[in-house]
Order: sequence, then C-alpha cells, then structure tokens
Amino acid sequence: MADVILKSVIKRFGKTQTIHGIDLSIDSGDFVVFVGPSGCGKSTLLRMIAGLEEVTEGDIYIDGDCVTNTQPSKRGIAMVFQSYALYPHMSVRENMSFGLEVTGESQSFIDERVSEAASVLKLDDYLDRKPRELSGGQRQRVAIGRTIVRKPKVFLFDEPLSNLDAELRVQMRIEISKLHDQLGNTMIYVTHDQVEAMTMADKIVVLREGVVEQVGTPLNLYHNPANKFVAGFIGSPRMNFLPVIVVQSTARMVLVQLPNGQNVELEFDGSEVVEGQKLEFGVRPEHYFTGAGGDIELELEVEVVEKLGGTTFVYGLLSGFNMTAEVDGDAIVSKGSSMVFSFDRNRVHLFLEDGLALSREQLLANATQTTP
Amino acid sequence: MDIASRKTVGKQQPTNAKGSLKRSDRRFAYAILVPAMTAFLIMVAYPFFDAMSMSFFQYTIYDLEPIFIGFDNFVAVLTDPYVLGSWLTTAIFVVGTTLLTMTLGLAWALLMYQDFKGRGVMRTLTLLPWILPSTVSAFVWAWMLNGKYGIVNVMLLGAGFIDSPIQFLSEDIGAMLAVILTRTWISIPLFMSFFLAGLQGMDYQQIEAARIDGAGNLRIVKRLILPHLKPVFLVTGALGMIGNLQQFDIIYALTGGGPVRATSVLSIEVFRQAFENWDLGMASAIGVLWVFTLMPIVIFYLRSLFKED
Repeated sequence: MADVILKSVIKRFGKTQTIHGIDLSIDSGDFVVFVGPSGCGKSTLLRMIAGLEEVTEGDIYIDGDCVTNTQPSKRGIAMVFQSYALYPHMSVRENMSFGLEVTGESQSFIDERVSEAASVLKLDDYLDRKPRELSGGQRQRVAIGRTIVRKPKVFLFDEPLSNLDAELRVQMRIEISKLHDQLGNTMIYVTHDQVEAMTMADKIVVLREGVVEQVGTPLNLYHNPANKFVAGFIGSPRMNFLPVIVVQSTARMVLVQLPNGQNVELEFDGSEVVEGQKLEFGVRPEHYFTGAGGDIELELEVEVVEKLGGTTFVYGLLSGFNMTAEVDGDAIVSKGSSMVFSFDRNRVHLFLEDGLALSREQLLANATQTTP
Repeated sequence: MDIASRKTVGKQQPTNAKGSLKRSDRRFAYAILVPAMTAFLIMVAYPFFDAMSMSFFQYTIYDLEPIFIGFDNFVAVLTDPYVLGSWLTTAIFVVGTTLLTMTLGLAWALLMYQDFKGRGVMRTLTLLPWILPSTVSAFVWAWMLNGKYGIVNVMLLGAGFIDSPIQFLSEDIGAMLAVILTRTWISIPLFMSFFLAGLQGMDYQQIEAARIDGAGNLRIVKRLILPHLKPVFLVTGALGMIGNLQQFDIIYALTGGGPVRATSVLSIEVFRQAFENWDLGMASAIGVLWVFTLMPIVIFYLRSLFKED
C-alpha cells in the first residue's frame, strides 16, 4: 500500500498543453477513479503516474518517494491496459510469470505467486492456454493476474472494461471491487463511464480539459456538484438544466423565475446573486415524480416515453426546453399529453453563469465536500 | 452489382460440387481471369515449357536444327565442376544476402518504429535504394568499392582497419562481398517495409506492459517483437531467397560473374551458356534445374501465404 501525490503536474505534447497543473493527493489503500469525457487527460495523467509519459513540469510521489524521473519498473506500480496487452504467443502462466522472470526470481517463487494469483482470479484451469483461447472476461482476469503476481504498491487501471460487453462489464466491475477489498492496495482507475466511477470508487476525480473539476466521494459529487459540468457528468440520465432569472434574493433564499413564468423559492445563499441575474436551475431526472405532491410542480409536454419495466423515462418539453424525468415503472404516462411532474425544492441545484454551483446546505450530513 | 452482393441478393440458385459459387458467378469469375491467364500463358508458361523441351536438345551455334539428345544436357550439367560450382556460389550469395538483408532490414525497421523528429522524412529516404534502377545502384557501389578512389577504402584506411586498399572487385571474397552488400542495400527498404508493417500491427501496450514489468530493450525484442514477427520472417525469408536466387542484373553490372567465376551464380551461368557459348540446350537444362532449386522455397512461401493461422 502506498499513497500517491501529484504536485503541480503539467503535460505538454509539443505546444499543446493537455494537463494544466494538477495537484492531487491519493491516500494509501484508496480506490480512486479518474473520470471525464474523451480527451480530458485522464489516461495521460495515469500514464504519467505509471512513467509511460514524461512529466513536463511538477512532481509525482509514490509512497513518499519522488518518482518523476524514475523508470516505470522502479515505481512499484503495475498496470492493466485497455487492450489487456497480453503477450499472444505466451500461455497464461507465461504471461503472469513474465514480470517476475525479468526481476530474476526463482522458478519456485514464480510458481507459487502465479498459483496464488490464479486461485484468486479463478484462472487455475486456464494456465496453459494461450490468450486467444480465452474469453474477453478471462483475458481481463489474466491481465489483472499479471499485475497481482508482482505485488505492487499501486495498481493502475486504464479503462480495463471498455472492451467487454455490458453484462461482463458489470461482473468484472464487481470482481475488481472485491479484489480491492481483498488486497487493500491503492488503486487508480481510469474510465469515461460514470456508472463505473460511482459504483467502484472510494473517491472520484472529475477531469475536464486537463483540469480537475472536483474530487470527492461518489455521493458527495452526486449531491453536491461543485459546478454545472460535474452536475451534468455525474448521474445518468444527466441532470436537467433550465435557464432562470433571479427575482429576489437574501442570504438564505433565492426566488427565481422559470422559463414558463413560474416563480420558485429555493433555500440557497443568495448573497452572491442580484435581482435580474441569469442562473441555471438543475434537477436530476430521478428526482421527478408524476403528479402533484412535490414542493415544485411543472407541466411538461410529453414527447417520448420509454418503459424499461422498473422505471420509465419520460422525455418532454417545458417552454421549449428538453426535460427528462425518470419515474416509476408503473406510472401511467402517455405520449403527446401534457402532464404534471413534481419534485422537492431541496433537490434543486443552482449554478452561476460561469458554471459554479451556488452554495447551500449539504443534502448528506456525512458527505465531505472537497474542491480542487 | 458486385459479386459479393450478387451472392446474397435474389433467388437462391443451385450450387454443385465444383464450388460454392453460383453458375453465373463462376462464369463471371472465369471471364475476369482470362486477361491474367492469357498473360501468364504467353509470358511465363510458354517460355518455361519451351525451355524445358529445349533442355532435351543439343542446340548450339554450330547446329542448324536442334538435335534430340535426351538427358545428356542434364548429365553434362551435373558432372561439370564449373557449373556445379555455381550452385555453391549461388547458395553463398543467397544465404549471405538474405540473412544480412533480414538482419539489417529488421534493425532499420526497429529504428524507424521509434518516435523521433523527422521520422517521416527518414522513412521516405529509406526507400531511395529501392527506387533507383539496380544497374545504377551497382555502378554507385562499384565506384564506392573502387580500389583507388572508393570511399569504402578511404574510410577503412582512415579508421585504421586496413593498411592498404582492398581491391574488392578483383578478389574472390571481395567481389562476393560487394555483390552481397549491393543487393542487401537495394533490398533493405522492401524488408524494412515488411518488418515495419509487422511492428505497426503489434499492440504497443504490450511493449509498455513489458517496460512496467522491467524488461529492457533486448528482452523486449527477443521475447515480444521477434515472436510477433515470426510470420513476417517466414514470408520475407522465402521472398528474399526467391528474389536472390533470381538475381542477375546487379551481379552482371558489378562483376559480370567474376573475377573468374567467383560470383557466377546460376543466372549468370545461364546467360553465359546461352549468349556467350551459344549453347541453348545447356542453358535450358541449367534453367530447368534452377527452377527445381527454387521450387521448395516457392512451395514453402505459398503455403505460408495461404495458411490461415
């Protein structure tokens, strides 16, 4: 186990800067997920920690040692790649042994380690097979096995599940989480899939264009997004946003007008906003329910209804703005009708024009908010 | 409509034991084969069978008509120490050139695989020997290896490796070395392209995984890259041997098969018999035996090419 610290890390490819001075501290034993859209720099950041990309500026520390200019093999890390990167001409056993052979370990030691890892990953029956004779999930397990045998301080995962089908992805997600519980090592995991991030992480790092947007626990990010980007990125389907205008504000309240002319009073610190200011009003689809009864009621023109059994997705319009509601699977909603949906006022998020969230009381007392 | 879509669209037509193609498709397939088959018959098959039949005749400048002599030409070839010597010369040339080309082609491909500034320009320049006419390359190398003014001698003398200039083209070993070097220089671009294509087909993350495991360059080449390139080695090895067995122009332009017979490979021997001794029957017999020498390598190459895995 080891902690990982990044200090003002910058990466430039020629004249293009992709990582803009990232400071990050990952505690020993944490499962941290880097998440963000394509091109946000999450894989580059992971590869810099691995030593596969040079750090242009700044420093990286693993277990207290500055490893900025250290060879990948000397950093005490092991990495699982998106393509698995298994050696196709070697058997599973040889793939798993390779790293230990390189370090000159004895054959008995290697056999013991491989057997131990194979047992953990249920690969005992496949040790003599070649990678091409394995399924996608088994190949992924071999890739993980290859890292386990080396007993690294830090495990790095670069979108390891993206080549698997949906069912296998869920299965492997659970297996990796179990593995983390079992081994207790520090793990850094890169994904663009926010469901993977939410379900696996102790801590999520949300990145956009080479900048950390927010760091926190999954529920903290879900309930208290630092800005509109995080609010939109975390949660599926994504949060609904509506442009609103401030009608009145105090230190404890903001009264806003929705696009349909409806005024809504919300408990926010309104000392930062003024009358007439434009804000974004955000509510997650899953916080809607059909009919009246919530603090705030909205009448939507229903355009599309998707019934999934357990839940129903309703896509509608409010004064020309797209809205999505995730309601009960048995809810009676008909396409083309106008229907009232409601939600509680404490489910609402407000964002300033620059995207920053307006502060309010946290929904989860236990959630600790951490901002970059 | 293309053949692929015609196979799936429309009413199902009966197929027979001759293949899975429908009758109409089969006719079309034969039709598009006609130009290639015609060219093959005129340019390859006819000359080959003509030469094969000529090998059973005595036909020199002194004979008005070919005289049938059965296997006498073959007996003469297989008992003539000079002609048999050209098989050994050919073997030395083919093995030496193929091994050197593959080694340097792979080394150059590994260099060109690295990410460095100006890589595109270097890759383009690498193709230069391939583009130049081979006789031009031969004269360039003859000039470079010249005993009086050649840059190779200047460099070797300057570096202190030799005390006096080597007369490359007038010494047995020097001449063989010269033809091997020249042919290698011309072939490197092609071999490099094969190896580079093979390398580019490799998942680079395998190399990164090995780096994280602590593997150095040599181990990565030995344990990962060479096994990955094994099919490329088989194909390029076979192609290289076939090409080198057929080599004529460079050797003829550089040494003319000499000094004496030091670089007289089979192609040179056929040329000598046909156009210096004007013994077409003997030349044809060498040619036929030459084809049989090539045959195992061609079969191996074709098998490698069509092997599924």
